[in-house]
Amino acid sequence: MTMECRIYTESLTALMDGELPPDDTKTIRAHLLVCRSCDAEYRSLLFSYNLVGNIQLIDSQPAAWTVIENRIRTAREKRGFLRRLLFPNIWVPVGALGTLVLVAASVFWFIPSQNKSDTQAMQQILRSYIQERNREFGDGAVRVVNYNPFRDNNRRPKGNPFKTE
Amino acid sequence: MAKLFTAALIISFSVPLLLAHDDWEKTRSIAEAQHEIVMLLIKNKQYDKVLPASKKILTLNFPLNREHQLVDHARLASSALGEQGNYTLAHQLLDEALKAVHNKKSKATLFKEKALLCSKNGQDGQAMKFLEEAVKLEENP
Repeated sequence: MTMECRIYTESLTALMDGELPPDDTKTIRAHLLVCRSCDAEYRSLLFSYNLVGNIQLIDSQPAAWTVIENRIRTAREKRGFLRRLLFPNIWVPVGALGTLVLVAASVFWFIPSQNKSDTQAMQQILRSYIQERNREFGDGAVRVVNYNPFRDNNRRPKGNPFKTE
Repeated sequence: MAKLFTAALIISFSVPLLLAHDDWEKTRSIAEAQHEIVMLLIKNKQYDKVLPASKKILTLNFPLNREHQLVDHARLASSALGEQGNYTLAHQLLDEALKAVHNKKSKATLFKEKALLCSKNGQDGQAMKFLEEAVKLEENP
């Protein structure tokens, strides 16, 4: 399809409605005679155009609208009082919003409480470690000065240091 | 002849044990002295010399059943550093100790020490992470 074809096919509806100036009409019709694809497009559109034009309109009776309106009204009134109280339209979004808030609140409530229990457990571990450490080393100041982990406390002198050679 | 054979047998078994004992005694003695040096360096606030001095202990070939002594050295030194407010060096020392030890229990203890340092320094989040590491190691010994 050439650029020319694209321009002409856009104007086919206007051609069928007789909205184009006479010069443009002549040009497009001349093009349709030589271009097969544009002609096929035109014929297809023309077929649909004629089809729509042949549809018969149904004459509706003036009382028909009153009947329809009455049916709508009676359908609304048939809803019982209790049902209207329990499921009025306004409560649907309110209920949804409430549920959403409840879920969000429970999630936010659950996560910090879990973190809190984790922290408490870790604090307990740290506390027991400090106790264990204090049992091993004693108080800080004494520990730093006196305790050497590599000292051999069971070492006995091999001989008498005062013995003459 | 039998007596001679028995004597030779006893000597052949006891010499390696005595030599091993002597080797360990030498290592222990070096570590003992070096620990005193580390603690004195910390006391005198010569922080730049602390880590190299401590590494001399940590690089000694300690047997697995004596590893707790390395852990104790690191705990004592880092604790002394923490008391002086030098938390960075304390953590560095513990990190070196973590590299030197192989036992999971030893590593867990060192992580707990790191957690304690963080807790004292107000880094509760970091302390939590180290404690989690320690717990993980203790759960899978």
